[in-house]
Order: sequence, then C-alpha cells, then structure tokens
Amino acid sequence: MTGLVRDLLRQRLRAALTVSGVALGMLTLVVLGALGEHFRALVDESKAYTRGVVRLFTKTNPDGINPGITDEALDAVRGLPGVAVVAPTLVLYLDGFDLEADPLSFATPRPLVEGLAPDHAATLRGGMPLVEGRWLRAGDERHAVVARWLAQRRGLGVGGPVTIRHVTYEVVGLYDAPDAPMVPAAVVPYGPLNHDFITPGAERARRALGELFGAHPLGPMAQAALAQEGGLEEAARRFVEQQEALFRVYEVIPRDRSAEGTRRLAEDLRATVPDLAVIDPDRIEQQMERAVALFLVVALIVTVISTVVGGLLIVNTMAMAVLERRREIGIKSAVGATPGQVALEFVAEAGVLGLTGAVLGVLVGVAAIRLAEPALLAQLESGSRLFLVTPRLVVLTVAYGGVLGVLAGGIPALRAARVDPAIVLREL
Amino acid sequence: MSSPAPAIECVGLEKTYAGPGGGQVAALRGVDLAVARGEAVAITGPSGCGKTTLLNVLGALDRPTAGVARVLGQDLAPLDTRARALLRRTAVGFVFQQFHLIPTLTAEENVALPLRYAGVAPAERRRRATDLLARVGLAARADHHPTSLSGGEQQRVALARALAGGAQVLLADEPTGNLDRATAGEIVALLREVVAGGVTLVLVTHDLDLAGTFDRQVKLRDGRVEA
Repeated sequence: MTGLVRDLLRQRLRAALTVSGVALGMLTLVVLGALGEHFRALVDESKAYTRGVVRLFTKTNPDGINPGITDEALDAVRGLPGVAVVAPTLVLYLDGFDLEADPLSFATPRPLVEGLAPDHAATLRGGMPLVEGRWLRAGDERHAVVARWLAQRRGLGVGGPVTIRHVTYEVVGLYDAPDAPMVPAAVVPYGPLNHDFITPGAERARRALGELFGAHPLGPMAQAALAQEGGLEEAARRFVEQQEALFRVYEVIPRDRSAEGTRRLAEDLRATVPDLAVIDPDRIEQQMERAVALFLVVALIVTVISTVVGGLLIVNTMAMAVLERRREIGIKSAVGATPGQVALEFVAEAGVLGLTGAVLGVLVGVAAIRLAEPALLAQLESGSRLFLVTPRLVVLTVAYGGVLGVLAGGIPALRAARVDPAIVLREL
Repeated sequence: MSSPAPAIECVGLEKTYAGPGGGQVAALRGVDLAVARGEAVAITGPSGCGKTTLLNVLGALDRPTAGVARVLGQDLAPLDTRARALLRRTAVGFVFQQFHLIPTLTAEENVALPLRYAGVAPAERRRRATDLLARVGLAARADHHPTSLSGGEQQRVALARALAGGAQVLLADEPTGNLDRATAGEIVALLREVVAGGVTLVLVTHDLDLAGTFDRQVKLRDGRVEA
C-alpha cells in the first residue's frame, strides 16, 4: 500500500488535479444524492400525514362543469358504513399571498396552514407526533398547533402567539412534521380560518350583487331571495361559499384505518360519489414516488456525466503513468511479475485515485451542504431540511469512486500488462 | 543411472525479429549450446552477434522463433506469458549492465521485489532481503535508494535481487560493463561465490580477459556459435 501511494505521489500535481476532478464529480453526486435522499425520506415521513385518511376533492365532469362538493354528495359519503368521520379541511398559505411583493409567490414553496374541525384534529393528524402541548380540541377558536420547524424558525413556543394570515392565534402545541409541500406548518380550527377567508370575498360579492340588483329592476325571484333571512348579505355569503367550495377538501376517516381498510373505503367512495376525486394514501404515495423517481433519473444523468469526466482524468493519468514507467514494468516482468500482477498494480493505483477523489468529494460536498442549507432554507421559507446525507449515500459514493477508478484504470492497466520486457529492456 | 539434464540446453535455436521496412532480422541462427548445472559460461562476441538475445531467450523474456531452448529441463517454447513469468521468478535470475533497479524503491525493497510477486509475507520478505543484502555486503545500505548508491553497490543490489527467488540459473548481461576495474573485480568475486553455491552462470561480456577466467567460453558470431 505504501508503495502504491508512493507511486501516486511521484507526479503530485497530476495526481492532485486528477483527484480534484474526481472529487468535483463526486461532490455533484453527494449534493444531488443528498437532495434525492431528502425527497425519499419525505415520501416515508409523509406517510404519517397521508396514512388512514381518504381525501375528497372536486373535479370537473365530462360536461366541463365543476359542481364542487355538494351537501348531497357529503350526505352520501356519511351514509357509507365504513365511514367514521367526514370533516372539511381548508388549506391556505400561512402568510397569505403578497403578489405585489413577490409575483411568483404562488410558485414558491411556502408554509401552509390547515383548518380542521378541532374535535377531529387529533384523529386526523395524530400520525404526526406531538412533541409539546396538545392537539386542538372542541371549543378551540384562535388556537394553533404548529410544526416544530416553523416554531424554531419564527421563535414560537407553546403559550405564545403566532400570526397566521394576519390574525393572532395562541400556540397550544408543537408537532413534528416533514417539510413536504403538502404537509401543513400549522393547524388551526376550521371555523375561524374559513370565516376569515370568506369574509373579504363575501364583502366583495355583496357589493357586486348590490350594484347588479340596484342597476336593474328586480324580478320576483330576486325579490324573494332578498326577502329571505339575511337578505343581500346572506345571498352574497352563499355565493362565495359556493365558489370557495371548489377549493375545499373533505377528509374521510375510515372505521378501519388499516391500509386495506382505507383502500376499500376509497373504492366505495369512488362508486358512491363519482363526481368527486377520491385520493387515497396509495395514490399520493405513488405520485410522490413517481416525482422522486423522475428527480433521481435526472440526478443520475447529471451525476454520470460529471463523474465520467473524473473517470477520463484517471484514464489519462494512468495512461501517462504507464508510458512513464515502461522501464519499471519491464524490470518487474523480468523479476517475475505476471501480466496480471502488473495490471493489478495500475488498477489499484487508479482505484486509490478514485477513492481519494470520492472521499474528498464527500467531505467537500457535506461541508458545502452544511454551509449552504441554512441560507437556502431561509430563502425558501419552508421546512427544516433540504438535503439528507445518509450513511448509505456516503458509502455508495465512496464505493462508486473506487469502482470508477478501477474501471478507468482498466485500459491503461491492460496496456501495462502488454508491455514486452524484452523490448523495453533492450530500449534502455 | 542417467546424469541429470543440463541446466541449459539449446538445439538449433533461432530468433528472428521484424526489421525495418517489413524485413526480418535473424539474431540467432541455429544456436546449439549445453551448460551443465553449476557451470559458469562466458558468452563473448562482437556487438550485434546475438549475445543479449540469447540471454533473453534463455531467461524466458523472449520467445524462440524456432529450435529448442530448455532451462532446467523445461522447454521454453510452449510456455505462456504467465508460466514464463513464474520461471523468471523462481528459477532464473537476471543481472543487467544498467543494473535496472527501481529508483523509487530502497535497496531492500528492490531485492524483495521478486518475493512480493511470489506472495511472500512482508515480514518474511524483509528478512530474506536483509539476509541477501548482508551476503553481498550491503546490510548497512538497505534503506538507501539506488540514486544514493555507487555503481558497484547498485550491481550488488541487483545481484541480491536476482538470487531472491531462489534462482538456480543466473544470467548476467555485461554485469561489469559500467564499473571500474576494482569494482568489477568485486562483482565477479561475488558471482564466483554464487556459482560455488551450485548456481549455473551464463555471463555475457566483451571482456575477453574476464571471459577466460570462467569454466568455459562460448563465442557467438552472426547469431551462431563459433566452432
């Protein structure tokens, strides 16, 4: 081994450049790999959020109409024997939109807030471990349970205030949540969140209806509508609710929350309410797996390209070494080295170059991630992690470096093995 | 009771190289030679007469084109590359005019090189290399690199290396060609010690005085043994 290192250090600059080239490729592998590991972990962690719940969304029917989630459909769902709970969920941006300040804010991952029926919050989200305080309960109004990562980032604590969509809530609990895009950073009672969401829209609708009704003579139906309890105010509210219902999700908890029970209920729901999109955990996980797989394919292509460059550097370095050491190869053959032994020495040397580059790439990659991750997270305003460096990633990267080196060293090694000692010694 | 096979036996040995312009250059043209075990033979002849080629063929560095070449009873012609390497490692030792030591290795590591390829454990390699260096009078220089050794010392290291694998046949190509007379005398004395130990020596030299001191002298001219 010492001899091998000594051989490598004969051309220090060349070896250093080669190792650096390999390290750059491996750095790419580590960074993209850590991103991939993060996504893969998210899929697993998100199961705590998706498991045991079937979600109902609106969908557009073949006539191009989106009827929303109607009371009739909900009654049909509640009537199914396998259904334990049907609860509305409203998911909104925790800080609201500010398109003027950030025109692309809708495209950037941002913390979400989820409005849930407080008496069902523990049942619906109990899969995510509560780390402090309590879940929401019946009677809660301006109370919030927030994800630990958000609490850490914004300096929130149980008993303290949190501002959600410009309204102050009291933090009553903290939970551990993955920073997957769909997983909320805070959970609050559905009623207040829905009220705060609808009120401005209802006000606008009231004004619009008022202008409409004021500008034209009212027909008997319009007059009747306005004569009902609540008058124009109530008509506007109903109108807005109907619009808003298009975006509301209903979550259905099966009586049997096992994977099979949840799957079975999802099938029953599809048969019962064909106008609604029924999303079961399998569907969500498949979707996430597909997204991760797509990322991994892209990452693999980029990684292969960047590491192949390192491999070519090794080929070049070892080919030069073979040329420079023809005399030594001849001497070694003369004293009894077989072609295989000669080749093995060069392959081992190339392997060490690859391994060293991989180790260096891992070290630099991990350091770069440690340095860049906080700034990136602050920029994205989401989650507590962007990269996940796992032992598996480190071991695979180093092993890949070694294999790359060995493969790259193969061709020069074959050339070394073919050196004819009689010719080489005669040349000297 | 039959006598043991000669250490070296050549019958009608020929070696032809591809020459410039697609022609053929005949280096050996039917060499007949027998060297008994423990015998010391000097090969002489003018430059280009085929001395080094003969040594390369006998040392399994080169393949004969035609004829028979046997070393310790082993026919060299059918041996594949690996078998020829094994023969060089265990039965035949080389000493070259330019010493051919590896500059990045110490004297001890150079001597231990054949043992490394024989798979001998590092500790045992060191012990045997140290013994051999002591035998050629260089125990104190074991950790020195070739560049810090004199020509004579380098040739001693090369001799120790040639014997490391337990060679029974020693092939020396102008071993004193790069040495002054006194140092050359020391190397020749060491070679005689080796022969006295039962090793067969075939030595190529231009030095006719030196050649005359060996058991037998074989003259080559134009690739043939002179009568």
